[in-house]
Amino acid sequence: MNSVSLPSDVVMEIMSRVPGKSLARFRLVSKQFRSLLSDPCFLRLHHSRSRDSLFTLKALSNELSNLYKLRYKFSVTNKANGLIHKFTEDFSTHRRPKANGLPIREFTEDYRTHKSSIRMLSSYHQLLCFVCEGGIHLCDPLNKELKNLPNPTFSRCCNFNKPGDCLVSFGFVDATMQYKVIKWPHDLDENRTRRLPSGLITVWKKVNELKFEVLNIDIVEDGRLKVSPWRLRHRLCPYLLQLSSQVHVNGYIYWTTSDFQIVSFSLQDETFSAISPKPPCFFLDTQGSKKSSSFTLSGSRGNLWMVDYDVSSQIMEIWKMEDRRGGWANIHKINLKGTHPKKIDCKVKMLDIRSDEVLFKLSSTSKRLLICYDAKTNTLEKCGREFGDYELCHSTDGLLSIDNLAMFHACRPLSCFLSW
Amino acid sequence: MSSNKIVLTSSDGESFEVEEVVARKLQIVGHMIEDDCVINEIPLQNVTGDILSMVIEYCKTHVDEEESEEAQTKLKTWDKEFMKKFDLKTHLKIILAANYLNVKGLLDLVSQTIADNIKDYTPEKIREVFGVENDYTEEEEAEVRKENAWAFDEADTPKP
Repeated sequence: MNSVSLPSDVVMEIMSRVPGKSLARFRLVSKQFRSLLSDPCFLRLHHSRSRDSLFTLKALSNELSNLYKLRYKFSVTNKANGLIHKFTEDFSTHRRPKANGLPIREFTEDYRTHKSSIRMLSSYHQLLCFVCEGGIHLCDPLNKELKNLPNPTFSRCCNFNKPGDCLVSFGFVDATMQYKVIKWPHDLDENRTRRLPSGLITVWKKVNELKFEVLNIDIVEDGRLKVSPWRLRHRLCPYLLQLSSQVHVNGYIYWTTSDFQIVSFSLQDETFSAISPKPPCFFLDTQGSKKSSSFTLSGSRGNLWMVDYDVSSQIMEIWKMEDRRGGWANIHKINLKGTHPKKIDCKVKMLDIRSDEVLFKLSSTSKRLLICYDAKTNTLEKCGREFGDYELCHSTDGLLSIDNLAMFHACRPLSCFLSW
Repeated sequence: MSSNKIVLTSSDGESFEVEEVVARKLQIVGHMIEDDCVINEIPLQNVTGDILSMVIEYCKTHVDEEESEEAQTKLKTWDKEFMKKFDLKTHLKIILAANYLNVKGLLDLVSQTIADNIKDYTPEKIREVFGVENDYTEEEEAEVRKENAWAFDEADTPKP
């Protein structure tokens, strides 16, 4: 067929709608095509048009790999694509098994603890990050790749004393087109939180300098990635961060604090600041109507959300941060009566939100439910069966490949020194 | 809105009389009207009559963009059927026209249609369709292929 010659803006219009994997093949078309596909403007356009898909992480089974370690099989799946990736992860048991035979019971107990010890973090920019005791992994769910990242120098990445806490943050900085992994120190929370018998929390007065480690992953030509060595940083952080509350939105990590603030960390500047104004619902109320409220953050569809769930009335309010300085809007007020028995320990986690649909997880010690709310009909629907060891995470299609990840090697080979 | 008629003339001299609201869907015409440099006949030099008639057909269908879900679904079905009528070569002509005439909705529609059609093409086929000359040396091409090996499934890697 006769070809039609197209101007490059039209080529970009078309190519920005082609899946990332096809584009990686199209780098072979010509040099000009290849450089067009590597252009940061093009990468941003492609990202803005890629579909956001939800991935599920599930622990499949566990087996004993040796006396001190448990080996887990995990799977990552997606509704549209089915099974994406299967991988195994070793966890040490922390307990010395008896010399004669295997102490099965102890392992069963550990199994429970370990279940929540793998965390899936989203950059909302193609790649995911898995964090567990064994280390930090970078995962490309669509292209089914999983790679280890170098270990930080401080300590391991999950806190087994507090399952659910994540000592690692992960995100994408659009301005510099790079991923960053942050490793927070182990004692970030404990050192700064004090509970009085009355249940109130004293404000941490000392302005402490926080030491943390940062790993940069840069996009180099042709969508390949280069991992830099870990850097140690010091920053002021006079906040009582609640580690398990962390979410990532557009290059910022957010936490709630024990004294009812929302604190952000800019991945670009690597500095902390408190968000002002905070949502009107978010305050300590020991006597009033909101004393049974629990607050959780959510980062969905490029926005920061706060979910205020009142256990006694079973009303869930969803607030949206309009912009970083602009204040908050109440988007939904959802009555959860009838979905579950009233329980003090019941927690809500919002997983996804669209214009008139909300997907969230309700969990108590005994039960986990996945519920979808339809705002148009004001109805709640249970999705699927009982919700077990799942973690959900968003990812988008992209042109990056972690297939040959360029690693910085901290130790020079000996021959380098010999040749000096 | 006034129901002024405007005549659009293609590069090969074909004339189409359309209502102003339809002509305004072509942003290039919309701007001319706002700039007052239009009486009632507009020559469009970069579009042939056969393509212009397709663009006008699209604009007529999309002239009142209703908000209701039902209307949106109906339009989407129409869009799909409309695109199915043409082959890739025509799609490429339509995209050029949509880009020149600045018809946002049509540009999105035809770009997505082309993208869906070409995503499984080999690089060789892309060169052919887009009229791109391969300026790699054999060694360079092998190198780029190696670097992007992850994107070539066994099925679409050319056999030696």
